[in-house]
Amino acid sequence: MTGRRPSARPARPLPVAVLLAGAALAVWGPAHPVVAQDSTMVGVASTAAADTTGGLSGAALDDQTAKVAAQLRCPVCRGQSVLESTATLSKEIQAEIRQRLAQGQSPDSVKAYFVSRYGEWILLKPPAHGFGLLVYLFPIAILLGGLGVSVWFVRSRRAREPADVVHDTGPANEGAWSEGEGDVPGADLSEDERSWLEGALRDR
Amino acid sequence: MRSWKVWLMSALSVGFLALLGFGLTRDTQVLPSAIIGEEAPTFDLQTLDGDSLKLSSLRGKVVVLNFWASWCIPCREEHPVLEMAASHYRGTDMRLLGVVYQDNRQNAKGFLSENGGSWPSVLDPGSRVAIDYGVYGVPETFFLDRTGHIALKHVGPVPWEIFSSTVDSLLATPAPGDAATTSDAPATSDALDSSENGR
Repeated sequence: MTGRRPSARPARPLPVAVLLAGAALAVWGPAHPVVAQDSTMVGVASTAAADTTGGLSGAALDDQTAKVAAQLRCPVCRGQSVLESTATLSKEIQAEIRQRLAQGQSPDSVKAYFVSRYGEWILLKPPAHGFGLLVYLFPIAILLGGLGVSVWFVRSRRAREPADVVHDTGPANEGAWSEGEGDVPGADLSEDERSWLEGALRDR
Repeated sequence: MRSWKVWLMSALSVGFLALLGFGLTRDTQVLPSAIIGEEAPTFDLQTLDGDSLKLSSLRGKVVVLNFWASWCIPCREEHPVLEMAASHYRGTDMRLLGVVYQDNRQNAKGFLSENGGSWPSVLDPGSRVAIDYGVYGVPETFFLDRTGHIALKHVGPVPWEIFSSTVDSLLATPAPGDAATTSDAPATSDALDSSENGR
């Protein structure tokens, strides 16, 4: 009974560490594919730059226009990207993106142009600096806080409850009256209590 | 033990409430503009009468750029203010210039013959100039100082008080060429002050 506790204690930091790592991955994970996407964009732009007038053309231009448009917020509908939106201004912004890419501007500089006109608000994904950083740090802070609270809660519960009570209320023992187990429920009853209980069960 | 927990929880709650308060009290309809104080993007567009009009030709004047459309109801509301401004500032260095947004020549001309308005308006095919100014709806009005910098942007129908106080203070600021002897710095800060008041 009491022999189990010391072995459980040292094991605890590991699951917590795994959880923390998982939480960090969950929060930061989505940011990485975008970074990768950006670098492939530049790759596409530079390979296409070699064949024509310095800008994109054909399917590569369509692709790239759509990729940039998907990252910009429609100024009219606001909840949608320029790519999804059917607002006239979105169509016009798409045309502007296309023209700039065709002229040989990189996707990053096209985005920078729109940021310089509409502010960082135009980016659907908030930038990971300044006030926008809160969006990325808040989930981590809340996860850590929640973890701290649950660890504290479990610990204070364990400290308050006597060891034997834990076994009587444990879900594993519910309804199980099997022989051969170390902790038979009712093993700590007195003789009187035991005979009363058996009588009560027989009369049922 | 207990007291530091209480302190931590209250500090966290206050911080969270402050953040919520900040977020919930902001007017989400008004978007921040990135180009206040910047040099106004130049353009060369056709007026409704077919002439070419370059923004750079108005350098040294106080330019009020008004983005509008004939289909825009708030523009109709705003129109009397613009007419009042045109007559009030006749003979001064204020130049009112309309930029027609997502509209055609015929409808824009129809609007002006119906509602009046003698100041020039230019057509903006593909809204390229509107995008250059970060316009997201009409009406939007930009006040340019004599050096061609954007002193103030007003979203929605511009009230006469804002129009007049902004233009008055911009007109009171001498062009940099005229005022070579006086320092440039107070001039620009004046213009920015008035834009703050105007908000």
